[in-house]
Amino acid sequence: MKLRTALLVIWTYVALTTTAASAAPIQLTGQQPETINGIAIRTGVERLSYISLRYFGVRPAYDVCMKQSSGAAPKQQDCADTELTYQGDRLNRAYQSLLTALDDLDRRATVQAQRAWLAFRDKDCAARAGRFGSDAGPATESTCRMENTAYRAQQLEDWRNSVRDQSSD
Amino acid sequence: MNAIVDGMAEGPNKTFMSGSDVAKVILIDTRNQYGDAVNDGLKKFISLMSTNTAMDMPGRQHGATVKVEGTFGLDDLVRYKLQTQYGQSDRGAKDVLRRVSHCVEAAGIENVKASLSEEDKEFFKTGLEKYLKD
Repeated sequence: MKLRTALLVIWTYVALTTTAASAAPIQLTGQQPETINGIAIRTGVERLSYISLRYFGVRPAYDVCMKQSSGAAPKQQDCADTELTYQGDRLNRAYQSLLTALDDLDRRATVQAQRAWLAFRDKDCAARAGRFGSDAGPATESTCRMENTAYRAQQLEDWRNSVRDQSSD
Repeated sequence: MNAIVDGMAEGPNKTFMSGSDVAKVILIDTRNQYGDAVNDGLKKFISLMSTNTAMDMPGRQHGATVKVEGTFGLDDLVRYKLQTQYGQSDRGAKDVLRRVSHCVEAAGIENVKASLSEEDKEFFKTGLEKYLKD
């Protein structure tokens, strides 16, 4: 009995201190932030901004340019426009390369899809830039177009590569 | 901004830019809002005349161009800003005109009204309509 009582006391003590310890951060910070792959997702930050632009092929020079802009919106537009020119060329190369790898039906569907995407990109970026206000509007729109173009270029490159892989099987 | 106007070739465009406070304020405001592409394009545009061919609109795709209409004036500056990529949405066009109206206020409404050419007046009465979708 004594042993069981002692174990019960120890278990109760451990349980209480463990609960207290684990509860402490909750008391200090409120609800625990969601964590994905060890990265806490902060409220007020757009989720997609956690994905590095490097995954879409945006060059490190863009980050350097943005740092040097010191937050000045016109300078940030310059950074985005320079990268957009590069990404636009990359997209066109991937698109042309993809078209040559597709059969006639898929090629026609892809041309239609690409035209629709282009119209969508511009309308979508114009719509989303509005909330950032007048001064930052043009820079935000340019940044949006650049990021979306890089994303699309990556999609088309991956698509083309998968078509090549299939045809070589 | 003064350096840009001073650097222009002598002619009617320079005369207009030198004598128009609102045109100078629009140049400054454009510098505050847009990057080099739009500003370098504007610098080129204010030296063009109606006899020049249309120039490609910086930052736009699909062959978008802008051209000086008649004698270079305030209407051309406003059209340039409405032809930017930012000016292509209803919200963007509205914002462009809102900022232009602030430039007019900064330069003095009565001064601006007094110096409007017939071409400018016509543009603001009827020519502007095609840029306003809502």
